[in-house]
Amino acid sequence: MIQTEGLTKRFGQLVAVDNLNIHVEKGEIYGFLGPNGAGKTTTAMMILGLLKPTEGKVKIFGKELQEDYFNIKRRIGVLSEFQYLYEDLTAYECLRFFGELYQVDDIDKRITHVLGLVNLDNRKHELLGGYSKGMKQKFGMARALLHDPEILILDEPVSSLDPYGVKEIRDIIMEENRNGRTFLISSHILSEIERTCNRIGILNRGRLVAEDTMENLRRRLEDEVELHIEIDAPNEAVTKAIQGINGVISVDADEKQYVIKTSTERDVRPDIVRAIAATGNVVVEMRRHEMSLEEAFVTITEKNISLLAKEGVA
Amino acid sequence: MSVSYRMNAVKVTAKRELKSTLYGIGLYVVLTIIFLITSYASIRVSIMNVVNNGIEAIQNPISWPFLVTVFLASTYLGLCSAISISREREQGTMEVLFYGPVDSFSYVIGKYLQQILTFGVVLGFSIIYFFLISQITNFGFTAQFLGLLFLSVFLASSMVAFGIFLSTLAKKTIVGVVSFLALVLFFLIFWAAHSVIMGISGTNMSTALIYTRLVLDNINLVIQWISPIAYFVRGMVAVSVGSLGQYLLSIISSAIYSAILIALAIITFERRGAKR
Repeated sequence: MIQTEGLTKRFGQLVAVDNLNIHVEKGEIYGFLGPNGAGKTTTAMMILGLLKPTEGKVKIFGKELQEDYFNIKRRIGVLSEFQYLYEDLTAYECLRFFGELYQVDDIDKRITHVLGLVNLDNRKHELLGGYSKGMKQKFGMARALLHDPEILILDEPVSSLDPYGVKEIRDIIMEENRNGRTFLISSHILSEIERTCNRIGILNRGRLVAEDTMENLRRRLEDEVELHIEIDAPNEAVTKAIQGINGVISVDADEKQYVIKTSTERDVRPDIVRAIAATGNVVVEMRRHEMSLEEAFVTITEKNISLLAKEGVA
Repeated sequence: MSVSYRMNAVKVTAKRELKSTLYGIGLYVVLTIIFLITSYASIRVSIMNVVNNGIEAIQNPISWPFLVTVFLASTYLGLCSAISISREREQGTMEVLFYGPVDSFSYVIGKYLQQILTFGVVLGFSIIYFFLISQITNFGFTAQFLGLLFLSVFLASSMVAFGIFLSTLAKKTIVGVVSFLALVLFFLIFWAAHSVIMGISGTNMSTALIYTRLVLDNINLVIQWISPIAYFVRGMVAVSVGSLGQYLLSIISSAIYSAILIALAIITFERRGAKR
């Protein structure tokens, strides 16, 4: 659906986006991550044709934007980080204007539907200038969905929302994705990306440093496994028994819980259970600590910075 | 297909702006002021001449007041044009428009069309106003007035195109406003100075005045094509001498001037982009 080939943007000496190749597949939710200034918004602007690339190209629906400008634009919905609205219009008037621009059929019905999705249907005759930041963001989502787009590009879609609003937007994204819509979401709220996205691209200093599913990213980054085990009566004998298992790197014990780090080469969980049982103890709970996206993000970007430093770029 | 999408974008953007103008109070306040100025400065003079001399020998007494109205209204619309694009860029709403099916061509043409349609509304009020004046004063409301109406659209178009071009150049609204007003004032002063100096008899001229005249005349060779005021002057001359040829030439030159400025505005806009 969206493909960038060697996409590069330079502002004078500054390389904002460097040889970026991403591929967003039909029907997926692609999370675009990166620290501030990584080049996420610049990339989104180039995809939308609002900034011209220095090098490389963008293909949407298999075509470059210039090849079929109006048809491509009509099939994309955009929610930007900052809501620039015609504040002298009511929500209804503004959506009506955009509905006419996108030539939406049965505009009134569609306006009622999208405002209903974001729970603003009872405030549609209020001026947008009087909306709170969160309401404006939800309105932006309604505007992005108004013309029934196939692709939605969302830049920080939940940054101004309260937890209830965040859930509303998350539910809409999941529901619309089930309806077949493709999403490209750029966000710094990692937990949201982790919850909603199928695939993630991590951008740092204009370079794509990782692109994979969350599962694969974890697997690639974890060089050790962390197990949290709770037993009924911990003692020194248990600690020694676990430390003696081949593949166990370290054991930390507090009152009832053990934090055990093991290598990723073999699954030592059965050995641990057997060792604990041999000391006359019972395992009450065992769980594997999974790397969060936040940890993965920090790991990847730090690794990348080190790499760049070695290359003499950083 | 893309032509119809583009035309839709032109229509929808122009309609939104036009509605906003018509529902606002600004246009009506400005029109009232313009009609008061016209009544006081032009029509009152003719009436006073009739009162004082018992006769006013003038071919079409409402033509000049009408051209004054057109000039003031066009300058106002030109100023609105100079503000419109830079303000939308500043507010970021332009960026949102360009997320969708709007391109540089449809955006600039939409802005231009909206101002021309607004001028159509101004013309509507002007027709009513001057018809009432002609009924009250018995000044002729002739067929030539219809010709003036037609010409006025092209004169307004020159001013609007000039404002839009400046607006695409300006990053900030204030820059658009100041540059428009400064240039219009400069062109007006230049036109007045040039007219005065050219009106002085060639005999008994000092050397300094001869050189000043020569310099102004040479500058005028350029200004007469880049100044929207110059197109008004051409129109006024055509009307005052009653020449059909000059009248047509005035219409054609205004149309070409507008087209060139709008094309330049589209190119400038395309280069700068819609990003805030």
